[in-house]
Amino acid sequence: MRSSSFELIVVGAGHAGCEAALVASRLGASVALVTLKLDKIAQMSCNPAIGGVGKGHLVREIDALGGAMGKVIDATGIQFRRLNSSRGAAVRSTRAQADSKLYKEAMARVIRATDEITLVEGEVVALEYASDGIKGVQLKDGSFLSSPAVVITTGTFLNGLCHIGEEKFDGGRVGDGPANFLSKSLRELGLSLGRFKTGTTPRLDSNSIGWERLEIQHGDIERPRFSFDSVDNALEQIPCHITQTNPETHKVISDNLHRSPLYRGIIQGLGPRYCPSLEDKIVRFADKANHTIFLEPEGLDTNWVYPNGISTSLPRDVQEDFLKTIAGLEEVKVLQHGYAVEYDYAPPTQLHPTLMTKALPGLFLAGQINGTSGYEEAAAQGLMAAINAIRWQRREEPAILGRHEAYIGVLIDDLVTKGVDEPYRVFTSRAEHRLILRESNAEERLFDRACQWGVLESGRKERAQLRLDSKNELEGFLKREKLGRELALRLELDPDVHSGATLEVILRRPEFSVQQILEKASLYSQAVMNQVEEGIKYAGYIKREQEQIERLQEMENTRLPHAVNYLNAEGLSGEAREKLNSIRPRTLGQASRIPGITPAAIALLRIHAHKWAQKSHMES
Amino acid sequence: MIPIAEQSTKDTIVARATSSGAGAIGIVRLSGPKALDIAQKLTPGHAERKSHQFALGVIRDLEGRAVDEAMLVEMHGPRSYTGEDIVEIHLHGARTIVESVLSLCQEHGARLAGPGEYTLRAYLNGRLDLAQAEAVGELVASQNESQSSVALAQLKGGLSRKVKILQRDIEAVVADMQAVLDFPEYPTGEGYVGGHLNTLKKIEEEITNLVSDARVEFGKGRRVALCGAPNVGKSSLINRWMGEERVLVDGAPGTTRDPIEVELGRGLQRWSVWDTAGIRSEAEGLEKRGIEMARERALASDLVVWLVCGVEPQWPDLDCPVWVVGSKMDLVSSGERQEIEREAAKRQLEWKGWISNISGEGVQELRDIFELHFDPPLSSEETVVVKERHLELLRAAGEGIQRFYKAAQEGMTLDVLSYELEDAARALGMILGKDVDEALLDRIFSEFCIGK
Repeated sequence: MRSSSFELIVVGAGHAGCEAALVASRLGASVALVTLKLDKIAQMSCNPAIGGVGKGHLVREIDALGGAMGKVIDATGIQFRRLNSSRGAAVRSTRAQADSKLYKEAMARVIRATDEITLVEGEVVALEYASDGIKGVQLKDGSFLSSPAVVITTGTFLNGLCHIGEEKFDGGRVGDGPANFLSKSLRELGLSLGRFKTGTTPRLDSNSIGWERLEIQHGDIERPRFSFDSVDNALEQIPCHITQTNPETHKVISDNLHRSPLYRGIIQGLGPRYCPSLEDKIVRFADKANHTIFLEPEGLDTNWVYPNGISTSLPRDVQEDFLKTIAGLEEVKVLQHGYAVEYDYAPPTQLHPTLMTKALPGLFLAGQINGTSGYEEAAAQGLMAAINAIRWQRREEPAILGRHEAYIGVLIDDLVTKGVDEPYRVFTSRAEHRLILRESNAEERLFDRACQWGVLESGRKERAQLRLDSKNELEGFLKREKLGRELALRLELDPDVHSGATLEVILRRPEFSVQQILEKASLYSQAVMNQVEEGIKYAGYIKREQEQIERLQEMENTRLPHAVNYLNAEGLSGEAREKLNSIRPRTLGQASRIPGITPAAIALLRIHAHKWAQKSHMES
Repeated sequence: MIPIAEQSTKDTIVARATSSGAGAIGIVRLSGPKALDIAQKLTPGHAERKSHQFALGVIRDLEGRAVDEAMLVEMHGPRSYTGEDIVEIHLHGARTIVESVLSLCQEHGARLAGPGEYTLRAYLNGRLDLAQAEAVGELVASQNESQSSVALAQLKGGLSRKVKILQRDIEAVVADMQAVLDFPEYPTGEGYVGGHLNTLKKIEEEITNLVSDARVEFGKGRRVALCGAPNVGKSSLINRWMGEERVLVDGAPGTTRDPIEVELGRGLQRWSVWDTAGIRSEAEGLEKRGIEMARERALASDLVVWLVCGVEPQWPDLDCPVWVVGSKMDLVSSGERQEIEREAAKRQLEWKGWISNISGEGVQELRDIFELHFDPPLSSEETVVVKERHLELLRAAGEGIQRFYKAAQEGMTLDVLSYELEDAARALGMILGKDVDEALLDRIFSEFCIGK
């Protein structure tokens, strides 16, 4: 250990921890990144994939803020697809299968290559806190790391408890022990903790699967990418396969439900409704004869296969029995059985929108510990928590993204305002201004913020600026340029009717693309063309969204003081007072999103807000 | 009223609740944290009063002199109109008594309420949603039974309930679309959007009914201009309706020189008739000026009725749509009547029947036709939209659904289709007070009178 004093300590080197440490280093801070095992940095504990609807948006935004996740998956992806391509620009999302070993190696290389990051292997057993703030963290081996700010990103490891049927063992995932001391330490410091559960699927041996009988799902030929900076990797691209459960599978499971820890009430934690275990699906959707399973390769160089869609915590023998009823898996060999993991999470309403705990200044929480699920959600929080941890120490304005600026803004505002009652994942439907939060314009949306916060690596700002210039230039060209006769004929439009119209007007029609219209297509990158085309086709909607956002700004800009005691606020119902007192919304807009706060309570808060503002004005 | 931002909700407010003229009783109402305390100070020595029960008490001034003997009723919050402690003091109606009690209340620490302040408090305390609060203003301002019954239904939550159901139904469709957008593995075939059309049709129908039954011009009163040749019986018809010799009638043509406005409001409606000078081309001087005014009035009316004399028909020459009614039916045969009706049809005029001012035949029927025209029976019994704001938002919701259809037809993608429906649901939410800004709240509560 070179030094035991740092500007930031990040506890946990998963997807949240890596982004946290990296962005702090880009901000010039010295960081200690503490992990239980150095060879498990950026481990994909669940499925070997990044992205998906909403999650793809998050990765693009992380990338626009200089984060690493997009570049690493671009470099190690073995199948790329664009989802929802027919359902509209707003919901078009990128998803990739990762070679999970290459992924974590690549991320670890980035971390190790960063001078400001000190990697520490060990278990944090306590957070040291004095009346004047955080002192640092105590490791199990007796050493002490000091820092005024700590980001905890321990995922499912706090009091992690795994279940396979009747078997139980401590751990945050199979093969790794739990972090129980830290959980206790946080509780002692006054954080309240809840209990969630998540499931994993059995892992299968690819050599035992009857591939030839299964439906193939290839990636897109024109590969979408996550990072605005990346180029295609040279890795072989391989397909996934699709199979299904059948009534026989369901019977095996129904007959053995009494052996399921979930149904025997052994598991206390609440799991996600949108990602139910197979036994859950069979009970809840009893009339469905089949459930789809995607067989995803875990990498190019491995026989491990991840069957997406059948997470389970049934006993080992039951898992093997039901698997063998499934087409292609008749002879299957299980490499690792599915299991459920229960873990402590800290209800995120205990956090400021900066992800700093309200109770313990200097302590930030990010990732699954906040009750979220998913690598992308974790990474986004890690990034924002570390930016804020550094800005907080430097006494700079908090870095908070609005709900109209980014999915990251939606994610964090949801967490700290509404809390969670099941593991939270991002959905596009959680964003009220979805039509302007597209994957294609993430860099443009966040460019000013990224520059303002100084989170981009050297050279990135210039590259981003070039892309924005190129986009503006293409937009300007389409707005200026009139449709010529020749092009009109090529597009099968009547030149007498349409020539004279600008290319922008022509492009508004759903049937035309930029490529068709542009003769000098090679000047612009595919990404720029996509972005411009979406902007033009959605122009009417974007304008309406913007008007709507403007209308709501009055509420978003009405600040509520932090130090107010809502319990004494006249007129508010008891429920409203308690909620406001615990959430402590920054703005009237945030207050209006707290569940159970009525429009009338908001009207009343306006009155209070004006008075508080007057009072503080008079006092200052 | 005091802008929302400057309201104080801690004060105890007081106002007279009955109209300011003299009456048998006058009611003073206190609301706020000190209401019970002030009531106690007004009636020193009085035993504690139970909530929601009348009690007799002697109101005394600061020197202990009796001001009045009054009935007091306390309504302890939150079971009260404002949700706060309320005391109503029922006094003898003399102006001086009411005024001295009002100032006594102020001496004891209350302040005079601003317009709409009681209702604002009821809203702020969650006793009423925004649509209900708006109904209170409507109820107080209502001029007749039907207006007030509509406002009362809205106050009881009739409109809110309907709007909530509509909002929920649209949101259910949106939720289904969201699921498809967020879970790409869900199939959406050809018929996906079509599957929702039935639900949306029903929602749209409901919105259309609310919009077409809306009565936002309820209290405005309508004007009918009664026109026609001189001496065709316009003034006599009005006299028939009024049941008295109100308008001077003379056998000589051209008796009515200036348009005369007569209020004919009855129980359920308010409307007025302009009796106008008979229109003839050979008029001169004062009569000519009268005819010009008649034409002007006709254009300014909500409805123009042209009387055609059965004996000497003269047809309208006005630049506006008119209803045509035959007069002096007692003087013409049925054959002649048919002839005239045919002529009217040929001229594409809207024929509304015959009257006789002598026998009275057709007179009442014509009036019924007017009333039906101005206030058609409601297709939905209890919920009627009476606020312009609600109507606008309902229209916006309807337009959202229309835009959804149009976008679906143009083959727009699902993200956009869902957006249009979200927009519609949002408009409905604003009726109930979601996402409304300060300026709007100020506007709503500024329409109230003091004491409500």
